[in-house]
Amino acid sequence: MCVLLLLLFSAPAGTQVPGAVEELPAAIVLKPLFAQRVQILDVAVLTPRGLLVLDRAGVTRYEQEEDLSLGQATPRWRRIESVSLPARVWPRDLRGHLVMDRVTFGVLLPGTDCAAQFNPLRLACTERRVPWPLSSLPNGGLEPERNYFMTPEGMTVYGGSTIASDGEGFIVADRQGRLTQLDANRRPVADLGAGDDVVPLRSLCGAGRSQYLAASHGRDGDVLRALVVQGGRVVQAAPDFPLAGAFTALSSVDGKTFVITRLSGADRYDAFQADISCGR
Amino acid sequence: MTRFKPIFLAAVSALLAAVTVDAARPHYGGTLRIETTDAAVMRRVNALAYETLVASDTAGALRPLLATAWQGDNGGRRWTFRLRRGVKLHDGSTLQPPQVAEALRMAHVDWQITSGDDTVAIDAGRDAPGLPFELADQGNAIVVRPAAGALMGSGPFRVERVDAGLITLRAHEGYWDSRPFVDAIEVRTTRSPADQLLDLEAARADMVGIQPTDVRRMEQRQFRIEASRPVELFVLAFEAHVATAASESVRRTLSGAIDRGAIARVVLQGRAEAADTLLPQWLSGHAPIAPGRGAEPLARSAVAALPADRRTLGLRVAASDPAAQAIAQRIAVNAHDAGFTITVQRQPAWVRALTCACCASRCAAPRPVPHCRTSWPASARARSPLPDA
Repeated sequence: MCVLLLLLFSAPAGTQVPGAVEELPAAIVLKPLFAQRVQILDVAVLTPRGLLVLDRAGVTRYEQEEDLSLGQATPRWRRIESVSLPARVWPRDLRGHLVMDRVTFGVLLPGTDCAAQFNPLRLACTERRVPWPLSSLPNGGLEPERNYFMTPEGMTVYGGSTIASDGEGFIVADRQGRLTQLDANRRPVADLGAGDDVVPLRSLCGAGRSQYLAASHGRDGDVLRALVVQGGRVVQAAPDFPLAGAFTALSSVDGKTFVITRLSGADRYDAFQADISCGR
Repeated sequence: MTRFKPIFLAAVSALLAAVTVDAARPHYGGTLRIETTDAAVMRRVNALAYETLVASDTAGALRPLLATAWQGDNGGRRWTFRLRRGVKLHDGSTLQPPQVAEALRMAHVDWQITSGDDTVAIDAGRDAPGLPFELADQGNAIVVRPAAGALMGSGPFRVERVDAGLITLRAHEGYWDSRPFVDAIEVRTTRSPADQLLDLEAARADMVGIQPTDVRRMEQRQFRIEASRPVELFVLAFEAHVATAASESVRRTLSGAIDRGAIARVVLQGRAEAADTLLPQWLSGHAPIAPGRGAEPLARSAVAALPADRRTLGLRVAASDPAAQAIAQRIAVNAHDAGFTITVQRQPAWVRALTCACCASRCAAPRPVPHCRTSWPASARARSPLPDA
């Protein structure tokens, strides 16, 4: 409970996207999962008490040592096994993504597609570009030596999500640092404000309406913003959530949403699981 | 009088419009436009195209660059460097050990240099325990000279074009440590300090060099300022005909009258360190040495009793160096309090080379007076940390 109190933090809404609803009963909740000095690229929660961490060095599987004790914010993890990434020159802004299956998983890296398995942890990597699962937004994988994707229409984006309910189309974060709503034919229909990445956000609020989590860089620091589609329009679903560090990655793995941040002063990367708390 | 002064670069937030936009994620693309006349910054620009075998970090320690490991034997007379594999030159070809050996031979005709499969061995013909540090100097960068065509390097940028006062660098797609974020860098080298500031404010430049005397004003105008560690040393050097044994008491009196702390705090706006020695402690590794015994400073009455020609001095400073002029004016005030009369004379830039004591003291930011630079010990040159420009 103490942990929950610490984390159920919300701030007054900042910049409002057009059509923001007046009542904001929901709040973004971040649950600390893992922290380390090496840059974390992606994480995945394993059933029942495991964690898979993709970082610049490789992939490591952890198991949770014990339940959280009073005042302990981050679970304690025990390293079980790890495997290194293939040796090659990666782009300066390295991005990576875990794709989970029931017994196996995949690792997507720039220009590299890896099939992986547990016990022992192994990676079989092939140098090829494959589409990343940007929630069904068509793409050809990360552009060579870059940190962005390109849609079939030639639009370059850092991330995107399909609008899954109450409308159709996509929300994308483009290279100019803007969130844009696209129609089903991927034509821009609305500017949704600043944003550097966007992913689906699992939510049980609002009769199961699909929600989206965007991260953006602001003058006073990076913030998370929850979005929802109402009547075909994208509106803000919860107050902005100011991050303690700079966001470096958003991802949606196996139905869960994760946020990776970097604390520059402490030279530390943190992975959080993001959720929406309803009816606060 | 000595004073250390860092190198300053002012960047406009609009730099972000061209290079990073207003985004959290690093942005690929754009052209970074730099204007500077500072030699230290130019050395860093040079290093973007031409890499050395090793590099020195800001703490003075060596780190691998084109060489991944090195070992000396025979008392440091012979050194073997293991070269990084797969380094691509700017034309896409792979850097070969014989090319490294040839490039080093061009800089050191007295060294015996041989190459192996992935090594280069250097016999300096003398005990050279500091040779790796020497190789970190940009003067020992690996520059490949093809039979025809332009010089080639392996750095993150290739030299695309060199015009009068304008150097254009283009991102090296095959760089061994991953492609840089910006597509190109333009460096203008002939704009005056005043023009640089105008260009910055008019968004014609993204980054310019500024004087410490401009720092506060630029900060007030919301420009972002980056400062190196102090690298430039101001020295009050007496010309040989003045620096006689008979004038030692005069020089000591003048030296004692100078308020170094006020110059660092007020004239250089807190962006400098008062220097008690030629080399700062972080560079030399030694505590300041107390000045030796000599003639005692003169009392004001004794100064007043001196012949007028010994109480009146001319202080020559470069007309192109506003900071030096501001310091000189302050020295003139201090000297007046001690009974001297100093006239500040603005001279062309070459006046810096009047005495070797003057130009050699500019550590890590040497002006283009190579005959004076040779007075530096090689190891000291190699260990001089460059600013993080």
